[in-house]
Amino acid sequence: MSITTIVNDPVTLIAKAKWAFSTRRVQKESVVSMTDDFNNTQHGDLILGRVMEIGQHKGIQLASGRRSELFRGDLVVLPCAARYAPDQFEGIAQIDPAGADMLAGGGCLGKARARNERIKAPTRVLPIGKLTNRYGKAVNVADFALPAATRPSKIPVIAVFGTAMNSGKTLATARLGYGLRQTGLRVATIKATGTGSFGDFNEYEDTGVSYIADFTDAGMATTYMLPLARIKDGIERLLADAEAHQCDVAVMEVADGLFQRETAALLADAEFRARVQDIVFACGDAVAAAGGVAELKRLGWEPRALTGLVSCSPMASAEAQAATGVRVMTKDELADPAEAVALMRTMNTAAEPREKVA
Amino acid sequence: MINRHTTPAENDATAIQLLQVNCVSHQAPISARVIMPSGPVTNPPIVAIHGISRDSDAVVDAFLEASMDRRRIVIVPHFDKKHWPVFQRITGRHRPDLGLLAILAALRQDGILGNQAFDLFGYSGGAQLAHRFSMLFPEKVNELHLGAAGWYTLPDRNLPYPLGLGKGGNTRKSWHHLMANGLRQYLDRPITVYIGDQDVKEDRSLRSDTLLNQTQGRNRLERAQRYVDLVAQHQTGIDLPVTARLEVLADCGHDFLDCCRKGGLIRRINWTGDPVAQY
Repeated sequence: MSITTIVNDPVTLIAKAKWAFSTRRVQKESVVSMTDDFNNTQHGDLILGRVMEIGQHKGIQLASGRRSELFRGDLVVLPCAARYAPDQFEGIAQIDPAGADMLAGGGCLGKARARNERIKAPTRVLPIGKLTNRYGKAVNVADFALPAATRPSKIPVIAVFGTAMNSGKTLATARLGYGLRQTGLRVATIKATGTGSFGDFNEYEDTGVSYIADFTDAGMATTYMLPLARIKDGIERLLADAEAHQCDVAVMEVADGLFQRETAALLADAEFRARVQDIVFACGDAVAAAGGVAELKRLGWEPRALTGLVSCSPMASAEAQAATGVRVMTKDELADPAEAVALMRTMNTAAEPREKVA
Repeated sequence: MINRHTTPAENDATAIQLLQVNCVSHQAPISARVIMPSGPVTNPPIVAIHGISRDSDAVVDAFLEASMDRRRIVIVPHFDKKHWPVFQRITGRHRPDLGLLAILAALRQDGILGNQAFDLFGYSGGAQLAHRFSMLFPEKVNELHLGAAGWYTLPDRNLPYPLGLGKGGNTRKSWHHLMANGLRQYLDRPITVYIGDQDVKEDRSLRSDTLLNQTQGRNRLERAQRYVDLVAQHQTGIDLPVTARLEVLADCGHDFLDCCRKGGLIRRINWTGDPVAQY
């Protein structure tokens, strides 16, 4: 009688693992093996690991859309990726076999380079293996991306930028999408850049818009440190897919602040400038509004409206409006179909007519 | 929630389904009846809004035959007094526009309507809402049919909202801006105003004040005539074809049923309804 002992059988392990939200497009059947060679691990490669130490992230956002509490010893599948989050970590896409850092709850494993002093050290994960496919190649979230666009999309785009994380961009995106949706338009809400997370995704979805997607659908676990061309390609994939879903307009959130690496690169890019019809700018107060609008103008952008935390205060709104000459809109105004459609009506390109008789 | 009140006999081309739609808008619950001709329907649907008496039954009755003959879906909202004390005007507190949008959203959700624009008819107070809704959401409306409105929001920036599109005093929201924003689109459609030749009573239900009387006239007939003239003038001013038209109903006062029976109000609607303005 022969007994075969299988240690670290990937099929058994990955079935028991908690798969992060940013891996949600991955077909698990494509994983047949794994390697413990973490050299040359690329942004997006899937890593199976065990939670060694609970730190900042006490839970993981699962691919199913649910948060799961993390316990020491839990098996997790996370993509290796870089993260930009001034209120948490800055980290790079690098896997230390002795222990890697969980940089985001939505699924981002790497090496922390900087940490906001108000938060705890990252949750630590012991890498077990880099998942591989039947060709012996690393399984990467990019393998499951939406297809590349076959022709340039034409769907009108309203982009939402902000001063920083938590300035109100996601709320603005969701509410504007909701306002437009109420008029009968088929609306796409899209997150173009950032860190894979179901929070924003679910907030969009709750508004009942016709199409929701983020950069993870374009094959990127996060967009930090990725080449601009790849990010633009991802945006085009999402817009083309929204168009294929017969959407009339896209409201697209661009993560973080104007000075963030990828956001700044997009703002300065002529092709991106030509692709976006209008922008809404979310900010926290009047000074941020003035600084943000000045920076946008320097780059050739004229925001259509200001929103975000500044809009919660009538006094701050009045100051911001006086300083910039740009209208401040509250979340309720963005969600009002009369306001939303007026904003869209004066975009550079009107949505194409669509005929559909039930 | 949609209830089907009648079921057509199979293969009966003359059968009609009358659906009851109950939905909720941001302001309040709202209901509507939907007249559905059996078999395939053509042309954009028509939304028909009752007047200040809120007699949506009368509107349903008036549209039944034409709906069947012309194979058009007709949607008849009901703004009940409890939830919609004001449905003629769009203000910060009163948002009948959201009520209409909620009905349309429910019908889209149930697959009864697509995303197409619709023709909009309103009588009296309903005509007030019809033209104001169209000014806010011109892309949603093809042809506009206004029956005997008491008064109008004029496409005139020198008059304060709601009389015109200038800054008004008593609302937080910038309705004048929102309506001015879509003014060109609003004017770019057929606008037909129907009025009885005897609709000249200055009764209690007709709003009257100095500025209104000066700018629009003292009675509904005069106001309808001036409105059509002003809309035509604005259309000419921005190089649009003049599509504003006045239909005077002979021997009719302000009674809706009289206007239908004696004046042929419903028959006069352009039931061929080719769409002219859509998203």
